Amino acid sequence: MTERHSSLILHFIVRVFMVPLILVFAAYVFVHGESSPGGGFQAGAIAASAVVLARLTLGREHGIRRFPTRLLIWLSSLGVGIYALAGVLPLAFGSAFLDYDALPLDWFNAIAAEEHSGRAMGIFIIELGVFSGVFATLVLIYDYLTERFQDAG
Amino acid sequence: MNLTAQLPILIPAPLLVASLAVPVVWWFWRRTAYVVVLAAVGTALAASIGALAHVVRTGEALVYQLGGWAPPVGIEYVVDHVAAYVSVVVTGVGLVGLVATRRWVTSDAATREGPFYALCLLLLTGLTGIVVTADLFNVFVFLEISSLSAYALVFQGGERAMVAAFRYLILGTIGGTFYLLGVGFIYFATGTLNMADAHQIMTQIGDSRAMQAAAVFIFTGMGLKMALVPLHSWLPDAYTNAPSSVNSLMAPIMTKVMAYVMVRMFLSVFPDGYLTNVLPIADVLVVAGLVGMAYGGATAIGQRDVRRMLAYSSIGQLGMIAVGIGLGTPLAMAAALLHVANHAAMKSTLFLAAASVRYVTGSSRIADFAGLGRRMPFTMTGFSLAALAMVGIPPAAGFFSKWYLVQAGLEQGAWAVVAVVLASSLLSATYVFRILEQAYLRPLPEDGPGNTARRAPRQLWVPVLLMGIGTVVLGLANAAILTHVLEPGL
Amino acid sequence: MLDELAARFPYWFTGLLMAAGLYGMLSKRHLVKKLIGLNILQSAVILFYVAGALRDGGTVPILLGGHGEGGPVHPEDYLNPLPHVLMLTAIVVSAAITGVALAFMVRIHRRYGTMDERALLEQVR
Repeated sequence: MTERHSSLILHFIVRVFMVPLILVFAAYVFVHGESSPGGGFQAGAIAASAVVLARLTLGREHGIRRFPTRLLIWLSSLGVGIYALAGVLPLAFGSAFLDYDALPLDWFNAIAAEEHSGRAMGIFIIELGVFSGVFATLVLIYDYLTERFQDAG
Repeated sequence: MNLTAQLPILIPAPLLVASLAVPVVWWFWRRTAYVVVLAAVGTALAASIGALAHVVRTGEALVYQLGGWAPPVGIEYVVDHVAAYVSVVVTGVGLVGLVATRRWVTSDAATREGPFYALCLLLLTGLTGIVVTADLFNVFVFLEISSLSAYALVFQGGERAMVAAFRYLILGTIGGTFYLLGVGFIYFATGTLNMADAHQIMTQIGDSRAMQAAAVFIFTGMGLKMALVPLHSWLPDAYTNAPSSVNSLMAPIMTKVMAYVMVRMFLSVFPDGYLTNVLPIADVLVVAGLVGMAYGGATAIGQRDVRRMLAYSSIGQLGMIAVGIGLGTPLAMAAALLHVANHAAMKSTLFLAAASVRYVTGSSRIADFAGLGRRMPFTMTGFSLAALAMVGIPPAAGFFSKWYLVQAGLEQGAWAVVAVVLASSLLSATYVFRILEQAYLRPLPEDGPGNTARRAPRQLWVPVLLMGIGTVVLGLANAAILTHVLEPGL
Repeated sequence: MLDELAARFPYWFTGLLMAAGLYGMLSKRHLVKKLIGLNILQSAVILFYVAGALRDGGTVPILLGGHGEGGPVHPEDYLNPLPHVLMLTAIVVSAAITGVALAFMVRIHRRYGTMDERALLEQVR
């Protein structure tokens, strides 16, 4: 389960088609989260499935070189941090807790093609935190579980 | 928004943010983490005191809408007299507990400081959140936050604590789930989760089977969490085996906040008089409380471990709070809430003193208290002051809440209440004087654990002594609390 | 009698599941079985909320195609979404509790080598 598979076809399909496709799909689900079904949690789970798939076929060592455990721990903490900050920051701008309307996010509307309310952008920041947290935590769970297998065998 | 309007959120939010920040800060700078902990709890305490001052001065509750969403759609935080008062008690005892246990906080815990403080802060987040929120479902969320951190904290107490923590988890979760089911009945009967809104709608639609089910489930669930006899079986094991620092943080406030939820149900959720006149919930509370007082006091006498004795005495004192809530008159309710603060101060002192003794002598058996009156004079002075307060000797803290409760019982002609309160004082006197006799009248045994080379450091006895004096001061302030805070609020 | 049962089917079902869960938690001696009972109890409450949000002919609470472009727009055409959202939170809480309980059990098993409650209590004494 943790060693590298030897099939060339499997490697080719996973590296060239599956992982990029899944990551792109995760990005799609992520950016549509604030206006349609989808969002940070789902996107995080999908992206994590891409990374886990790479670890399953290309071997655990390879995967850990690409996404080191330390980086994943940082990402998951960062996710929770973003989540908490997005709630508390409006207080600094003199508004209520969780009131994203108060966040200075108007510059974002200039970049995005269409007009969004402050609330929608606030939710987007929250989604970013959720994505980072869920993605990193799911991969971490996989890593810790397979670590046991390696110890045993 | 000005600072006063922000006060309700400044009670739980700093604790929540700090609980996330502390492990990270601790990872890089070991000493700074503790400063962050103190700053967060200090901010919460300051916000609570500010809210209390504002509420007492203006007589109006502070209302806060999360995210700017107006109720009943949004979640509302309401800090009225009672909430501000309980919040001051919770954050105050939390701060004292964290300061006093600084030196030996993880001495008998199987964990390191960073995660430990994070859990402590999460516990306080949950408890203060329960106090300030006015949303029924939000209460459940905070309830589970505080309970989960409490399970994890109890679990750190070593081998014996593991099984106790697991049983606490099972029973605590039954309690939380029952509460959630009760809230479900309220929601489907009224279509709202806002307490004030639900109160109004339930008053209009009158009695229904859904409301009865809601009341029964909520009070059973909270009874479990509050360790009301006969649902108390998790408490003695959990309190006996938890790390000492967890005891002095959790034992004084955790179950009291659950009692506060019951008060909330009486005051601002169910229609006025519904739980007293239509359903016999109040009577059940009184009976369970009386049985609890007798049972807790009587069982405490027979214990050999001082922490176990204090745990059973907690069951008795919680029974007294339940009696006050169940009698339902403003005076009885005020007595119960007064006892929340008094008992928090007393139990905090007693558990701190017991933990200091355990730290110095390595034992918490009552027999090993022999001669400690001379060995650890200041610690035992603090212990004695709090112990005498628990017996109800005026003017220390415990006397006045008992006095008002007896008065409330006399008003209602509830002679059983009067008799049991007086009898429970006798029971407390019995188990308290057992320890005081050991400490002051017995000689220090030659080869006992009390005779070790370690002397009690100043960081140990100063907080205990101050808290002991604090219980007396709190007792003197009781009348003022009653007239200025509780009577306008009830 | 049968009509009563059918009309209040969710209540009876919740009651049945809760009884099963409580029975598992209080009478089984194996810790994992206790945890499974706990999860059944929590699922009962979750199903209770979801059943309460049910409405005949209701659809998912998403605005399909916007106002005036077909698709339901009135609140009475939709299922009540609030209980579902509440239950998402409750599921997260229940997952957290399950996680903490499993962590406890791993530690207990490492220390005592058994998951049987009676054997554990004997060892603790």
